[in-house]
Formats: sequence, C-alpha cells, structure tokens
Amino acid sequence: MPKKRFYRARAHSNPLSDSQFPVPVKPDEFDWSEHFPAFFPATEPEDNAKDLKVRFADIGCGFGGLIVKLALLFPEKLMVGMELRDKVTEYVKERILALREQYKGQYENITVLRTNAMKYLPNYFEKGQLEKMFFLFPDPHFKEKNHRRRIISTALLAEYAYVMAIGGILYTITDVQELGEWMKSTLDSHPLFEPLTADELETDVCVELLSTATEEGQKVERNQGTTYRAIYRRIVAPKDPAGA
Amino acid sequence: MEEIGGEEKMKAGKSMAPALIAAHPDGSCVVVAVGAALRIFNLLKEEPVQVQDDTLPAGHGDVIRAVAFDLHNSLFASVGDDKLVKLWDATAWTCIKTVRLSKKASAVTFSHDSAWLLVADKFGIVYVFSTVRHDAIHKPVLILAHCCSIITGLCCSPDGKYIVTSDRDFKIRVTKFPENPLTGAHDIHTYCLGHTNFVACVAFIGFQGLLISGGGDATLRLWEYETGALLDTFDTTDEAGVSGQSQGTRAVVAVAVSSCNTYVGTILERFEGVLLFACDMVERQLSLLQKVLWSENAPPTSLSFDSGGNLWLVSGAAETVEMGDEFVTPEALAVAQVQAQGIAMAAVTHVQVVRDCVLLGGTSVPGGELLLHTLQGHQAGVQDVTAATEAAELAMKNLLSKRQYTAEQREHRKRMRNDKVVSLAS
Repeated sequence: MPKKRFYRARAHSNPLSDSQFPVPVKPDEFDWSEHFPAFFPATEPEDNAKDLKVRFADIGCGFGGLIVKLALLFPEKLMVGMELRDKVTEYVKERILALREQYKGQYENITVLRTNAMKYLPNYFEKGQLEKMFFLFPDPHFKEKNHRRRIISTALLAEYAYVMAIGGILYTITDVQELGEWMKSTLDSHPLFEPLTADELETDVCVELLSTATEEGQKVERNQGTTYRAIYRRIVAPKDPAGA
Repeated sequence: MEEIGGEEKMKAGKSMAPALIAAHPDGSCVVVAVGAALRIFNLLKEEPVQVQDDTLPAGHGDVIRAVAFDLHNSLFASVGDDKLVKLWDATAWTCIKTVRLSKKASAVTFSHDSAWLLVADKFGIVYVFSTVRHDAIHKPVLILAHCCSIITGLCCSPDGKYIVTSDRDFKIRVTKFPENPLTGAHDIHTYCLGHTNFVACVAFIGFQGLLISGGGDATLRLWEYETGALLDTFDTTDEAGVSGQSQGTRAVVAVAVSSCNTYVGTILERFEGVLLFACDMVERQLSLLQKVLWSENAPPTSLSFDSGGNLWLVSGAAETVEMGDEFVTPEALAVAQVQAQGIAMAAVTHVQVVRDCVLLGGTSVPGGELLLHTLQGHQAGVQDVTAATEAAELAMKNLLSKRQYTAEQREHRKRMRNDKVVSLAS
C-alpha cells in the first residue's frame, strides 16, 4: 500500500488554469481497456454481458476513499475517480494497483484519471452515460470573485445533466454551511434535477458512504462537524417535446 | 524560453484587434468595424452613412470585437472590449439601446426569429437580451456558460432549435434553444468534438442540419449538428503553403456562407487570399472550388457574403486601449473613449470584393472609389494594413492557443510563483 506522506500535495488546485495533461478529443478515442484490464481481456470475450462503460464518476476523488468503498458494493459497475492534483492521482493509482494485488479479483472496476472535470467531462463520457456522480467535500471558494470556480454551478449542472442518464443520481456533501446552501439552491432551481425523497435517501446505500467513506468525511466526523447533503435525480426537462 | 518571451512581450505591448466586415442581408449596406468605429456605406444610395447614438455612453469606448446583422428586422449589434453591447437600427443607423456587461465581449448573434440578442463574454458566459426597444430588463441575463473558456463563435440554427457555441477548449456545443430564454438554456443537445486546437469560427450551411467550423488546427470541419457527427474534414495546410512563409500552421480565422449556400468562403491566418469551397448537400462533403489570391500583402481578417453573392473581405487592425485591472474612474473612461475614437479614425483597412470566384480589381467594386474611401480610411497604404493585421492575428492566436511548456519551463515557472518568492524573501 502506498504511503500518503510520499504524495503530499497542495490542498487546492486552480481549475481555471490551462491543462498540461493529455485529454482525449472525444469519448470513443479514449482507451479504457488499460484502466480496467480484467474487464477488457486481450482476447475477444465470449459473453458480451458485461457493461463496459463507466457508470459512476467521483469528481474530485482526492485520495480515493469513496471509489475504494464503492468498488466492493457495485463490483459490476465501472467507476472512475477524477482528480486535478497530479500527486494525489498518482497516489490513488498506486493504491488501486496495490489493492488489486492484495485482493485478487477485486477492485478491478475502479480507476483514477488526472483531469479537469469542469472542462473535459464531454471528452470522456457520452451523453447520458453516467448513472451516479459524486461531489464530496468540494472546495468552498468563499470569495465571490471565485464563485465561478465552484464545482456546482448552474452552468456546470447543464454539463453534468448532459453526461448523466435520466434517473441518474447526483450526490453532493460539504461541511461548509454556505457552500451547502449554495449547492442546494443551485440544484433546486435547475429544471433538469429534482431532489430525492426522504424514503429514497433512506434506502440508497451510497448516502451513508458520503460522510463516512472519504478521508475528508472522517475528519469532519472526528471533529463532530455538521455536514450538508444535497442529493438530486436527473430528470427529463419538464416541457421537452422530444422527451429525450 | 521562446514562449515565455512571447508572453511577456504580449503583456508589455499593445494588443491589436482585427477589422471586421459585415454586409446587410438585404444588400443595402456594408459595415466595416475597425477599432471603436463603425464605417458604413449605403450601396443603394452610394453614400457613406454616419451612425447616430443618443444612448449613454454614446459610441464604443474600445475596439469592437464582434458584429452581427439579424435576418428579418434590419437590426445590427456590435460588442467589444469596452464591455458595451450596442443594438442598432440598421436602416436609420440609430442606436436602439446600450447595455453594459461586466466583462469584455467576444461574440454576438441574433436568435433565428430576431427576438433575442445573444452575447458571449471572455469568461465564457452567454447573455441574452430582448431586441425590443423598451423592455423592463436592463440587466444582462445569463442563458448558458462554458466553464471559463473564451467563446469564439456563437450562432443560432436556421431551424430555430439550437444555439451553437464554440470555444478555445476545442469544443462546439449544441444547446437546445429554450422556450423562454430568460430562464436559461439548460439542455445540452450534443457536442461536436474533433478539433484538436481552438475553434475559431462556426457557421450554418443550408437548412439540412449542417454546420461548418474552422480553427487553430488549420482544418475546416463539416458537422451534422443534430447528432454531433463529423461528416468531413478539410486540412487547409497544403492549400496555404503557396506564399512561401512556412512558420507553423495557419489557423482558420473565419468562415462565411453565401446566402444561396453555394459557396463557403474561408480565410486563414497570414494568408493573402480566400479559399472558396462548395458544400455537396447530398454527399455531405466539402470540396475546394477556387483559391483566390492577390499580390498585395494584405491577409484578410474578416469576410461576409452579401445577398447578391459578392464576398466582401477586409484586412486591417486597430490598437486596443488597455485599461488594466485597476478601478477605472469615469474620467479615465472618457479619456480612453476619446483615445479609442482617435485610433479608430486613423486606422486604415483594405477592402476587397470577390464575385463568382474572381477578384474585382481596384475601384470596380460596388460603390466604387467612394466606398473604398469610406471603408478603408484616408490614406490606405497596404503596408500599414499588413503590419497591423499580422499583429492582430498573432494577438488572437496567442490568446486562444494553449501554451505548451516543457518540463523544464514548468519547473522554472513554479519557482517564480508568488508564494515561493515570498517564502524565499522571508
């Protein structure tokens, strides 16, 4: 298992700066097989039953706590953690390889990408591909000048709605009250998202993980901090004649 | 190191903005926007037109970056680095209204039904305004946004169903045109992905769902915008190699489609001519019809077809008035505006017309010498035009291209970071 102290990184990275990493021109040009070798065997598989499309995305996955937990809960779903910080991505990469080595046959369905999810989601995913998106403890960006760097905004929700399947769930959680309210009100006012009911929240296995799985969540719990969740479903536009 | 040097030079030197040209869809006039000024020539009466602006502030205070005519109601819009959006009556040439944005504008267009004006700013936000003279809303209303990427092209599909936006992050986005634009366009229909550098321009061809785009990868691409499928790619690199200079690829600067959809005109960076394409609507592909070149050293910066099939081309550029990031007093703004108007007055352009793939020589253009005199400025020397144009194209390319740093340069830049400098000093 890699040691976190060898992968020290800054807490934040500017999402607006130009990328210095390769980005696929379009989704079908991206080769997922090297990320999921167990799902894409070298020889043509007999059964085509496996879903070879990434269905879950953890945006700003940090040290990867959530996808590691989700890997065992949904072993048939391919999922990707997206992280902008180079060193942190390296750590998660090593962590996944170590887990695959340690527990043979498990953790084959998770991977990590160094990329800027604010800019390049359509380069990786087709329309309606994702079933779940996670935004756990995003940077709060308190200054009004920096609100455009927030990962949940009306303009970006349009892009998330594009890559998400109808009925897909978007999870957000934060320990910053101001940001929690911002995310809730932004999602509430967006025509393509509706909140989950209390019952649905109760039965969703991922909800529990939001506050317990990640390093950031555990820290908040240790300090007995409050968390603010906003969990929404992607819906068809109310007055969309095409019905999408 | 070369890149870093270039960057510093850009900051120190004045930025240039290319001249723009637009022909009225009804063929009544031609407009050249250079610097902060609009030069208009009425082709029917064969006389220059002076604009009248009673709104506040009157006239543009910095270079105009984008202009657009609407199709039906004889409206015209101009936006620029002064953050002002001006809507004009394109018959009487009076200003209908002026709206101030918080950022510099980069693109403008009208909705298909002419009811709405859409303006993109350099932070990637598209605002919408009603074109009605007196409406209750004076604040810009956000309709959609690209995440902090400069929007280079903006147009509404001829079927009225979509808004198409292109940006410097290689993307073309097709968004459904909403029933009520004031509540925003949230439903992204598709993306047209395939460009490998910034997208510089987009335009529709015909009514069969075709879109054409050009960009920094020197290609012209034909798309089906309903599905986002790439139908055809034309690499202009070989066509543009003729003039001898081979300093990198030439970005596609602009495209224009003739009103009967027979021709697609394309201009390239540092290229003294225009490429004319035909678009086969059945096979859905592009073919090069004609390469029109000229000996004068004046690469065009903008082009526009008029209803009679004339292709109008302009070359030229004007300096911008840099205001910096500090708070700007109204007095300073007034001074800047006078300065901008002065620059625009002195700016020279070079106007040319191509008809049926043939360049019309000298004063045989529609409107004759008086038109050239009006649109080009007083002592239009081709050499001045060329130098200014090249500076403008370079500035535009530097703005839109992503800088590529080697590992070494990146380390050097990291060492120069502000927080590191402070920690070294203490």
